[in-house]
Amino acid sequence: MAEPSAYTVASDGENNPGEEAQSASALAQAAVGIDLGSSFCSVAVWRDSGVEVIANPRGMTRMQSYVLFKGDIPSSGVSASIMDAELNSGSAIYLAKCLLGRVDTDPVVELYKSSPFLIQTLGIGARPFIGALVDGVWRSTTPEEVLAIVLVQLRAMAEAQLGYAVRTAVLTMPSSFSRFQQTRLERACAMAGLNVLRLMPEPTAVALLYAQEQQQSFNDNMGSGIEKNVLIFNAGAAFCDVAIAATAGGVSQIRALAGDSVGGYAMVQNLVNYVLKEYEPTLDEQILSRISVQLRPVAEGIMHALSTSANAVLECEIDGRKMSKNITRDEFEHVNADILKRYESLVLQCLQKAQMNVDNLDDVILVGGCSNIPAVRSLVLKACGGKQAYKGIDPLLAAVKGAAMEGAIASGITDPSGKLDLLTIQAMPHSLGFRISGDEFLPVLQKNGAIPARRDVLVTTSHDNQSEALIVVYEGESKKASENHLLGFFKVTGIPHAKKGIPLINICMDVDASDVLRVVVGVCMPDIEKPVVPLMEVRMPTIDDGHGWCAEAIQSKYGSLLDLNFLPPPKHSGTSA
Amino acid sequence: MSATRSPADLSSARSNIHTTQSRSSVDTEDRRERSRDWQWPRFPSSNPEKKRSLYEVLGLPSEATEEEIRNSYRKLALKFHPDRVAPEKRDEYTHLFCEIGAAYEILADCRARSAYDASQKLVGFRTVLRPTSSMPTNPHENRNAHVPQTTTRRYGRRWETEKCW
Repeated sequence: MAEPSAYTVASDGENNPGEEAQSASALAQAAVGIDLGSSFCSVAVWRDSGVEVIANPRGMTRMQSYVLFKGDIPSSGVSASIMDAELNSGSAIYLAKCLLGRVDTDPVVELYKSSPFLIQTLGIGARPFIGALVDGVWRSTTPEEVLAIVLVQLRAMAEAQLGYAVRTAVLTMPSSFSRFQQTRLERACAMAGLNVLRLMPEPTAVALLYAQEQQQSFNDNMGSGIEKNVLIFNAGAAFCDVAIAATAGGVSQIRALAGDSVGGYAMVQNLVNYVLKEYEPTLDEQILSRISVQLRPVAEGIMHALSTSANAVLECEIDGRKMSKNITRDEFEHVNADILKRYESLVLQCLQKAQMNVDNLDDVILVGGCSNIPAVRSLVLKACGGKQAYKGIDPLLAAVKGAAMEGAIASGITDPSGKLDLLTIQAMPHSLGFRISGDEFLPVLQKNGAIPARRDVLVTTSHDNQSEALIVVYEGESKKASENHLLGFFKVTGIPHAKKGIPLINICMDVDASDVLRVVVGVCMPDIEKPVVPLMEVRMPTIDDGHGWCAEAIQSKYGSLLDLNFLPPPKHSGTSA
Repeated sequence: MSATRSPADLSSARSNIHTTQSRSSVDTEDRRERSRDWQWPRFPSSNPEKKRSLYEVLGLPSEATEEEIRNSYRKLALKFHPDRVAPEKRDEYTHLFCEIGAAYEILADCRARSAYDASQKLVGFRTVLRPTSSMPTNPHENRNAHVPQTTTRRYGRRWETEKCW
């Protein structure tokens, strides 16, 4: 087969983190920044003291991140635009980012089941089956594969424009992504031959861009940095993120981060359901779902129209049924009241976590497609004390520009005029900890803490003569371990026999600057200076597909047999007094 | 080594580190360094004077204002964040930055800070309260003078042996 080499995607099983990435020529170039959104993607690079957003041959800087399976070679929205008819034929897979790393019991997967391609779930905690209709056959694929195809084509496009091989990239991601989802995104990049230098939450990429703008204007005006606090609200097709950053002198410090997996797609779906409910209350479910697929693009158009006018008329003909309905902005807001409430609570949650009063906010930045919706804008600005939205940042390209800047910084590029003299101190999007005393979650590293971070805790055995202990690592905010995301598990063995509560097990969690999590465990006895067994260092996450079962399987096999209990830190017993 | 040195200290004697702390990137060496850095073992028996006060970590007097704490943190971050140093020094700087970050996290939160202050007073570790021969009588003369320039270990022990409370 005469496939162009740029279009080959390594098989899903392989994991080749770009072995060429280490070569000198690759290191000399700035890594590209890629914003791989749920519905649109773009790529940018630092060149000649500025960020350049790369356009495809048709002059587009934002391309649809859809993949069309037709014939031998799948094509993505990067190289060719896809017609609505093809999009709804079942041959095109979109929203791959929303399905990435999710198990079939995830409610988010349920939300996207109304899409025209196949999403089959068994509800058992395994990965859903995803299929594209190719010549009358449901051909199986995975979200990783779909994203890899988009990435390969983005890479090819960038290489054609830049004239050198692109091997390293900084990608943006939603802040609600779990660490497991991050590994899936890295897998997709590896399949596309890209080495990921860093995954950064979308709003922090915007914060970096803002920090640079502030620094530039200060350099021009006053000289040194004044602290500015900024709230960044990013809402796209399937995710919403909020961040609060404090910036001064080129350093932006992420004070709080919050995210939710709800966006424009769900809003359009709500609108579709609303229209259908009124029109065809008696139809059977199968016909209804077919109509709803065809109604989607129309409803999406209505949503866009309502951003600029107070009402819009929905008119279409599906299966011989004529529909015509006048939809007002109020109606749209009404059917999406729940989503708007979730957006608002994210903003409030962030303000609270950053311990910040709205008066201390200097700017509010709204980015992402959904930030064009008047109701979203007004609710965010109102929650921020009635501020004006910050102007001067392109709401649709801000994230990719920030990522390109981070790519340059992380590649060690320096700029003579000091434009890259920047630093972002990232924050943890989720708390990290492990399970103790049954189903209790003991956080070791707290949400919103600065990265890199390291902390250790002491725990002890929960049974007499317990020689083994199970370390089950989770991420999330719930007090119950089972309600958080499982990251992995391993056993510590060789604990000397002793009464419960005597052996000391030190569990240390370490997140380095590249956001890699390591868990190190050591076992000590009170009177022995050195650890009694070799330390164990485990890079997380270790779990793979089907992890939905793991927690349950562990529970049913071991129960509380290998449990650990918390050991309160020793009180400093006033040795000096 | 790095565990006993204050980051603020390091910033003043940066040239030193590069020569004295250059270590081979051999894996085993790396690991040894790491396990040592673990402050292992962390038990009641281990001597508490090894810990420097959080104010010392940020190079500030204990009456520093919130703004001073934020500024100092930012300045130290620019120097010690692993993103800002050469790849081979990343590990070492990660440890230092974690220490700075942990100190900042407590001192920037007024509630945690006052709890920390209270706990420090209990064990007699509060800094800058009593002038000693090694310290300037007026702490404002030189803001960073109270940060020990040689080793913190001796400094910490002095407080203990003086039994000043």
